[in-house]
Amino acid sequence: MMMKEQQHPLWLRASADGDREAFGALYHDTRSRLFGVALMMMNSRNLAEDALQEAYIRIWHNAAEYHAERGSVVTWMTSIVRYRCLDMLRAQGTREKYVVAVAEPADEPQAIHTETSTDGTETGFTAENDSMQLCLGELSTQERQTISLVYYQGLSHHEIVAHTDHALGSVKSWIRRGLDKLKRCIQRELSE
Amino acid sequence: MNYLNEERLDVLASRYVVGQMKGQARSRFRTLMQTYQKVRERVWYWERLLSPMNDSIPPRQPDDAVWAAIEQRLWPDAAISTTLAANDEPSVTSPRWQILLPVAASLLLGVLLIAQINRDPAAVPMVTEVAVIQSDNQPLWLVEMTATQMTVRATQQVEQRNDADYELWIVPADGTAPVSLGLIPESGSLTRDRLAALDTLQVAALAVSREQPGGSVTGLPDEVLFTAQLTTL
Repeated sequence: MMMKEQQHPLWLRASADGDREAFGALYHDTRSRLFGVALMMMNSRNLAEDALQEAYIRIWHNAAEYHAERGSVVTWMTSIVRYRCLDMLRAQGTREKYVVAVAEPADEPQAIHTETSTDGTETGFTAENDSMQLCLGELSTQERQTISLVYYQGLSHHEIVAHTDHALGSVKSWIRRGLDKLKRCIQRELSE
Repeated sequence: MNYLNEERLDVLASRYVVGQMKGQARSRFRTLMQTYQKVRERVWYWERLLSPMNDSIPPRQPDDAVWAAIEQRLWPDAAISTTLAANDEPSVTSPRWQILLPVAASLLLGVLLIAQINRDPAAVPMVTEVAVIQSDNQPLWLVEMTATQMTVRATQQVEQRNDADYELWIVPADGTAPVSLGLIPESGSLTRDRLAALDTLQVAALAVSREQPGGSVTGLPDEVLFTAQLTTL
């Protein structure tokens, strides 16, 4: 995987110059990871494929705007997919089905680490990922659950309230506090 | 509200990245991102910080039709193979200008917006409020206020009309009648003195109306076409 990840910036730069072949290579190496994100958020294969298609169109058109400050190429591309999904979710106001019982990554480290994409590439398993898993584990159950619902499934505050019976103020507070804790914990972990 | 306060900016950026913002708040924050490097950098920071969360999401294989649809949309003139081999040679090359035209349009707007904040602060009065008037997510006018002036810049998406003029209005929050800020350009930019009423009125929104040539004759907007939030920086 590392070999191919190192090629991502090259493929993206070539895509910015109009190189379709490079864009195709980038698509085929990243589609499974990005589709996994879209599917988890949209909870509908059709909607997730629509979001994925729109996202790659944007990636092609905006390829020249990528720079290292955005993180890795996959981080940048994943953000584009996530924002597209969020736009679709907010625009339609409803979703086909909620999945409130989030499989929390921190609870299933082994399953995560051995996951293999349909491309035959392993999913990310990095020092940053280690820190994230550790830091998610430091959150309270409510903080971890609400952050997971909003981040992985794109649920709004009110949708979380409707499906968990928690008060709106509590939900907002857990997310805010949880994000603060995550930020401080990851900074601490990566600086050590 | 000062959106550029460090602590406030950090909270807003995290809310945007996680997905807690919606509607007008999301739209306003995107305007701030377009306008301020500092806002973009804080968003990038949170995107990087949270990106490891994506690594734990199981990969899934999309249908082959997705790539075929992407190819069809990007290069409709080309009979490109939809096979999944990444190193297939495209059979036809489309003109690059067709591909780059939308990019150029968006970059132009980006430059227009970013240019506002890269000016020498000593030479140019500080912008205190900003609004982007849009239609179907297409920006039409950028409105900037300083302590003494108002500048309105038209984008190329503004429909040119010979039989009508566009007029900008303040919609007061107290429900009183809209107050005209004057006619605005269909192209280029226009700068005029800031209306004193802006300092006393609570502004609910800005509105653009279509008026007969020369502007409203009744003192009220004729046909309101667009509205936008005025964001205080």
